[in-house]
Amino acid sequence: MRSAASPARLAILAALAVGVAAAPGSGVAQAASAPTSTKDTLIVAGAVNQGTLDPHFAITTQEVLFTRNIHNALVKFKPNTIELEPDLATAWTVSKDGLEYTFKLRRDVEWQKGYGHFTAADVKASFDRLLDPATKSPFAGSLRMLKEAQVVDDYTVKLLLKEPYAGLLYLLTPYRAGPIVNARAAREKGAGFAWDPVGTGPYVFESRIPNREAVMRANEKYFGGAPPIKKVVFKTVTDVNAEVLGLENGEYDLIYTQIREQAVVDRLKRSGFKEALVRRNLPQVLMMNVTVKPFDSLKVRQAIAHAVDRQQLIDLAYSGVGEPWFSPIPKGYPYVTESVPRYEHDLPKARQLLAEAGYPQGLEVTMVNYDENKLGGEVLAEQLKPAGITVKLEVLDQPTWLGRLFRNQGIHFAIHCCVRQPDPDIWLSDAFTPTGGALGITKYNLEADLIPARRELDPKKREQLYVEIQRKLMRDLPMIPLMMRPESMVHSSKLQGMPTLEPIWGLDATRLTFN
Amino acid sequence: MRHLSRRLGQIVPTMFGALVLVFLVMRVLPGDPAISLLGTAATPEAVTALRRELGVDRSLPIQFAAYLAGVVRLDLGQSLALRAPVARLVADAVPHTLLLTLGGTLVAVAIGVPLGIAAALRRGTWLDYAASTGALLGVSVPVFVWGLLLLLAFSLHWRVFPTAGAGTTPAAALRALVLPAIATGFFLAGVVSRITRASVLSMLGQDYARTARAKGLAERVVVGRHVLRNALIPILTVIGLNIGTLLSGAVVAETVFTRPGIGRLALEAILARDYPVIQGVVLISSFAVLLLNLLIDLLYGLADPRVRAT
Repeated sequence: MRSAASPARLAILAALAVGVAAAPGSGVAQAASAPTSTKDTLIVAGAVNQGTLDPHFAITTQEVLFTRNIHNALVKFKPNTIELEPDLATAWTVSKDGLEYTFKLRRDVEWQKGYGHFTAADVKASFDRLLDPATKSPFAGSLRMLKEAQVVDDYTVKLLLKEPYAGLLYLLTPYRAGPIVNARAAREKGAGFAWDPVGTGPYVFESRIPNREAVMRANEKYFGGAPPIKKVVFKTVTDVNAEVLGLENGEYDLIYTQIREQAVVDRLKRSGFKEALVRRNLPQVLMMNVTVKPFDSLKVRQAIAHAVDRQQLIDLAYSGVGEPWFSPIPKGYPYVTESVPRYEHDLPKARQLLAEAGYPQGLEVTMVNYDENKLGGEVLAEQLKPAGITVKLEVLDQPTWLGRLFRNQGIHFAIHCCVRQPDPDIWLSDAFTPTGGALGITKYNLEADLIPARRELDPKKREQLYVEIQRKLMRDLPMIPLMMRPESMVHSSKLQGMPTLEPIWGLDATRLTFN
Repeated sequence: MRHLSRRLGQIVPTMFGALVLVFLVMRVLPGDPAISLLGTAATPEAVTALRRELGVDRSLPIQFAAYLAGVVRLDLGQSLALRAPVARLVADAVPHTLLLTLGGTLVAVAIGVPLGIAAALRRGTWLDYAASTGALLGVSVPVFVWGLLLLLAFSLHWRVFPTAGAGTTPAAALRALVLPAIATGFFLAGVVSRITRASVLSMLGQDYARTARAKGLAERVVVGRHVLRNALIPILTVIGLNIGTLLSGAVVAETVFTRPGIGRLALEAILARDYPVIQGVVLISSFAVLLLNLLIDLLYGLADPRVRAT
């Protein structure tokens, strides 16, 4: 009977396909042999792909997880603080006019992969590469105040600015414009540099299977000493449930994705896993476009602020993890003050303000959030209802949301958040100047107030300026600070050294060990 | 032969149409690769720089012409989000999805056909009702639910199969295939069992079946040699039609089981607005679906010589 041959053929095809999938030369066989989680191998599972390890293009926390450990910068953050400490620079001085930063460099630094000894010329070449329009780095703009980098001698480099910028050192940390890359390697490798980076850091990039995994191994010649964990493997696991199952099954040591359901985190903790709550100075704010109705009315914005119950929002939408926050500069940044006009939860006052604003019968507004803030939006909508504000909710995926924001297509009221280097100017400029982009929902222009503050080098005077700015922002209320939100990561109990504060994305892998 | 060449001739315009459609649809969506990659770090300046770097600042006709010129040279371009050649990404993913589709089909046939035959032969008995209920469950429970249940039972509780990956040796590849194949196969098993039951039932009442019985053939032979063979045509049709569905099930299964494959590649490319990858995936999958349907057509010929004659 001929039809009987069909299953047999299918079986042969299946066997062939297995053979193809596992044959040398196919993607699977190219994989580094599946590393097991030993004491010196850390396997991290994350939901988002790494797209590039060129630090002048690396954006996501998954990418920065690697770039921060492959590349150094002139300065870095002291563990668990926002204080700066030497990295490639050993010391630095700033001229009185704030236009010249002179850095003394380490003399014991070698580039990875045989690219020779590190000198001041490398620092200059790296900044030149970043600022060169031909590089097309998205972060060149953040160093727009940099006129040029000058080599003084082999181990001294000077950064000359066009205008004073008090927050400059924060821009020189291993994030965005800060990392020092080997410009010669970048030139030689061209587009290939994205996945064959050359840095001076504690880890060396080893291999990658796009969409699946990337591996870096310890740099045994690292000037700070070889790190205890010898290999870090990042696995792309898009489904968070699969990450959880893999962690429970011992396939991963660390879930580098926020688990939304607290019940799952609690279950994992009961099974002996640990939760690391890492503060990234990440605020959650409610932004309103002050140029469109009804948000152009201060009283409407105040009414909304009085209708918000921060603790309830944290409990219902963020599993109780977070801290109510009332100031426009994120907690943990320098110059933060809580001595600003506060808008406590007060529904009668919210209704009264709404009536005074000309909406005695209430009003209807549309809140457009990206998927991550869906639940937060739902809770806020319920909170605003008794104040007479009906919120129509729209939820989009983040690229669509950002696309609509950039095209000015109706994103006027939304929950938003972001991580920035902890200098108030970086966050406030992104949120309240026309160059702000992804944070520029409010169309409230603070540039005139920010200019003197970013140029002021005296910390005391600078603090006064930022205190004034914070009060002004809370008076004019283009944005309602909601909460500070730590990042939760669940990991094997054997993994030690998880940070409590990381002001930028990624993790410092040199501080991690297995007990 | 003429049938075959006509079917082959349809492949190119169909693929071209799919390509034009996906090219336009992706570009109508708000958010472009630069914005998607930059996320909350996007500033107008950074978006402009990255758009230039990725080459998506050129006009649509120029982008499309450049893409088509590449396709003709069998160059599918570079992934914007992963910074790797699309051909390599697709070539890397295809064997895994093929394997999963094949595994799913085998599971569906292995469960669906015997279940359908048994239900038809024991029509109206508890076995028939049980098979119908099973088929309903198979059709209505989503792949991700089966996936998670299977993972919970066989990966976490009994630790027989891995939770993720596709294995690096043939044995490990087979082990990693079992759960995803079952999860995707259940849906098709439900469909196959229902169509098998219906098909076998209708064939059992045909004249030739009665004649075979009248000849004194045993019921086993009547069913095995005559009824089943004729009932196979609609079953093959259903399997062929559902290969597309199986592929879409692969998107879910590949995500739940963290399997590399064309579905997961496509899903992530859509979320990242990674145009070249999406186009590459559509091109290859439409080609695969068309080819598989053609194969099913040819299989009809094996099952029923009358099809070959026409």
